[in-house]
Amino acid sequence: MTKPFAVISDIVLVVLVIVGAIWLFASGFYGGGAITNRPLLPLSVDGSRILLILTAVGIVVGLLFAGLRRERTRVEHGEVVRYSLYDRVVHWAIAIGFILAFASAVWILRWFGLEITNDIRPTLYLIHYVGAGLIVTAAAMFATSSRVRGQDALFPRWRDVGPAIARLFGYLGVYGESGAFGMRMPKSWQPGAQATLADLGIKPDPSEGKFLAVEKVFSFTPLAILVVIVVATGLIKSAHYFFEMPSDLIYWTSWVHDVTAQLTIAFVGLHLAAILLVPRNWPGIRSMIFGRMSFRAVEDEFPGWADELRQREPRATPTDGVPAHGTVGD
Amino acid sequence: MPEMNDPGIPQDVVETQPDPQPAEPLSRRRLVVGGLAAVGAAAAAAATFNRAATTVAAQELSTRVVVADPSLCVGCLACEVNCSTWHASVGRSAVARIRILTDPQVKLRTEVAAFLPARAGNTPQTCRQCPVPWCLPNCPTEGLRVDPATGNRYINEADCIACGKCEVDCPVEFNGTLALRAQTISSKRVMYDPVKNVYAKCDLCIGRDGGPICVERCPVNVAIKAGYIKSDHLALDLKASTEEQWKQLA
Amino acid sequence: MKRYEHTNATSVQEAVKLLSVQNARIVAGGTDLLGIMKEGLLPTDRVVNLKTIPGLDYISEEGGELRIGALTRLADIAAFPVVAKQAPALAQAAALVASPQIRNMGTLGGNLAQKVRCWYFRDADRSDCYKRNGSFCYAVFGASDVHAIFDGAACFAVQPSDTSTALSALGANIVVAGQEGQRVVGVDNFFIGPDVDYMRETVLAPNELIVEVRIPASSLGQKSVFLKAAPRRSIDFARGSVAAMVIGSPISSVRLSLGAVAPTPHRATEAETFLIGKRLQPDVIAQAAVLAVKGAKPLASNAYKVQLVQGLVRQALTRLAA
Repeated sequence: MTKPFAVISDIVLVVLVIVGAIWLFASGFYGGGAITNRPLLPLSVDGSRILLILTAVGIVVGLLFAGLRRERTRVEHGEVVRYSLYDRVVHWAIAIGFILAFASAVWILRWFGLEITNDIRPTLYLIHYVGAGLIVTAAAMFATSSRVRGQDALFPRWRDVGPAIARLFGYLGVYGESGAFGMRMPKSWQPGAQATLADLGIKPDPSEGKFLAVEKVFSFTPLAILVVIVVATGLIKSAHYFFEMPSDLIYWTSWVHDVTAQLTIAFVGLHLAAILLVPRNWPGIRSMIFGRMSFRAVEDEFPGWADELRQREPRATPTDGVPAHGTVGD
Repeated sequence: MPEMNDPGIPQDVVETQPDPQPAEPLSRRRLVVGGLAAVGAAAAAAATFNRAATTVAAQELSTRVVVADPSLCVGCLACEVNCSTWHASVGRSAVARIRILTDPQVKLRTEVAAFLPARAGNTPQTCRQCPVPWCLPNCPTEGLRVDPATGNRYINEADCIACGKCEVDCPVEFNGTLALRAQTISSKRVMYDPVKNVYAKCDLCIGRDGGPICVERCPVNVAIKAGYIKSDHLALDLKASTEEQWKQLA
Repeated sequence: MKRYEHTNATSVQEAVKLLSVQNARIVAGGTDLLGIMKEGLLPTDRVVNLKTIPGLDYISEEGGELRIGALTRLADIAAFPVVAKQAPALAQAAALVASPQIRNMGTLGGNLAQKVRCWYFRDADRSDCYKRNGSFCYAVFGASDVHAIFDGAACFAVQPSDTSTALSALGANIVVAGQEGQRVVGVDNFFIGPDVDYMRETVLAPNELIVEVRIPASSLGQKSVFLKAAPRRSIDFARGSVAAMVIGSPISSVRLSLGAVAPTPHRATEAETFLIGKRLQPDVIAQAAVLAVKGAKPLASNAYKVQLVQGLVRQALTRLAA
């Protein structure tokens, strides 16, 4: 699916990145000489160097992984593998990285009345860089392997917007199923609400695929864009300790980095809210930890995907005659 | 969530998933959807644009800056000592944020040389309160701030975690020999204080009635204001900062 | 004079405790304190008398060092043969302090811890002064005859103690007693400039006191000298002074300290470095004297101190050469 120019430019970029990483590693670590009495400055500089190296590492690992043979989605014993080990590693690396970065930031900025001493700052600062390192490496891996494999199923199409918004209203119980905290809208209100939304072109999709419209529109895409901007601007900031760069560029890059980091926090909050507060989404949590979800849950939540799986593996997927379950959370 | 390893579904299957909606004019929906998205984005952005607004405003606000005339400076170091003492008295770092460097090229104006001929060769230097505050954007906390009222670039030392990024980005140095005991200095105009583990810079004595203490207590200024030294300007003064002014600052 | 409380300490620890209130001051000989109190220079609510502490008045050789208690009278330091023999500069300095009456009452500790003689500091009625917690120094543009030509910073008062200059040349150590017990401070670290804290001249905290001065073994019996220049032969504070200790010929070690020219005893380090490995011949002495005053930055009316001190250095080194 990629054109020759894109391939060549990708290869050139990757080579540059890897050469740069080797140079950064070989040029040694902070030897500030007379100014070694600033406890965090070496960490700022060395941390930046390491982040740049980790990006290269992530790209290399992503490339290696992209070259591996892929497994077909399997249905076994009534369960479907939704997320492979690679998928889960990438997800949790970013998630844990985010938690470490956020927690260390909250503490070092003394939010919520937290107090810190001088002694603990270097540790918190280090944890912050570790979190950033996890995010950078995993994001680089994921972006590289997805790009190379041409995987774009998580990107939304225009037709996903209506169903995505509908599902958000569904979390309030508009469509009869339970929503956040298991809440439901009173039955007499539902038809009216549904009709109003339908007039605006907002209707649920009766046959959602493997990835819900709401995931594609409101979760993955905003977070992916934000993370790309955060990482890219962060790498530019990191680079300015080692390469001459225009001050204007650093100035505006820092500003963009700050704003997108804050927006990322907001969207992660929404992501966590959707996952944790809506019982319908809990099978997703299980699948992101163990990789699998029950075929029942697939039928309930991703009917379109269930159809595809049935077409491919008719013998493995449960057939009619097995009592249908209600929606999880009912 | 990351695009999951989903090799079993060929791309064309995904692409040709039947459109559940009947084909209808999409313009109204797109308008609503786009509007909602825009409103949502704007709301999120507005809620998180504090720093951005301050930063943008900082670029446009003219700031105040301490300006010195070396030809009026006798190197008495009252500015350094008072700066250090006052900041310590309000709980901030005792590092002197204005420094007098020696420069044999600098001559004393005759009005001052008449009193103190042997004390020429001093240049007071301090933070230039740059119109574009280079130290600010990389500060990971709210340590470095811009006072919206005056444009004063200052460090809220309680929030400073001494990461050193402001020092790296500050474009101006203290570089040379100090008047104080002829010590050499090589640092940026935002300086590390190892005693308090924070960074310190000229903050125009923010919070002090009467403004910068160095301007108030400079004995040459006192003599000029009392008429003993004839001069149309002060040795140390607080002026508005402009691009041209900034280029002339020591 | 304001009412104040007079207390007698019977031990060093008790003295520290008594001093740990606001505006408490030490009285030993009282030759500086009384003037400060009468002129209202520093608020004084309590006076802590150290003369009632036994065992602080002695001159002894111990542990290879010459140890002098802080309450030892200057007259005794001037008169005791062991001091003249082992640390001549100190004996000469003590002998030149003030006048016989003051030397009979004044103590070594008091001489080291005395306040400055700057006439603006001493004139509370008319002059603002940093050392009286003020915000201006008149010496910068005013009458600066007695003020510093080195290391002034906001305040230009000089360290007036003659014994401090001699002890600086002798490399002495000063034992200080405070809240956490006793500690030993080298003489060159004991005195601080106004850039460190213009309300003090020494490292002493408000509740601390000097208990002993020690001259190390390496300085004992070495050639040393103290010279003082003052308007009158007696009573006046130094306008410039020099203390020097020289070991070996060619010189292997030298300490050259200038007094009354800086807020602390001023070590002429460039001259010292120059002298190492040389013999005290006239041309060497002359060059050392030039180096000793290099970098001096006089004020309006104390430029004379440059030549004065240069001449004193020449005289001092010439005496040591003999």
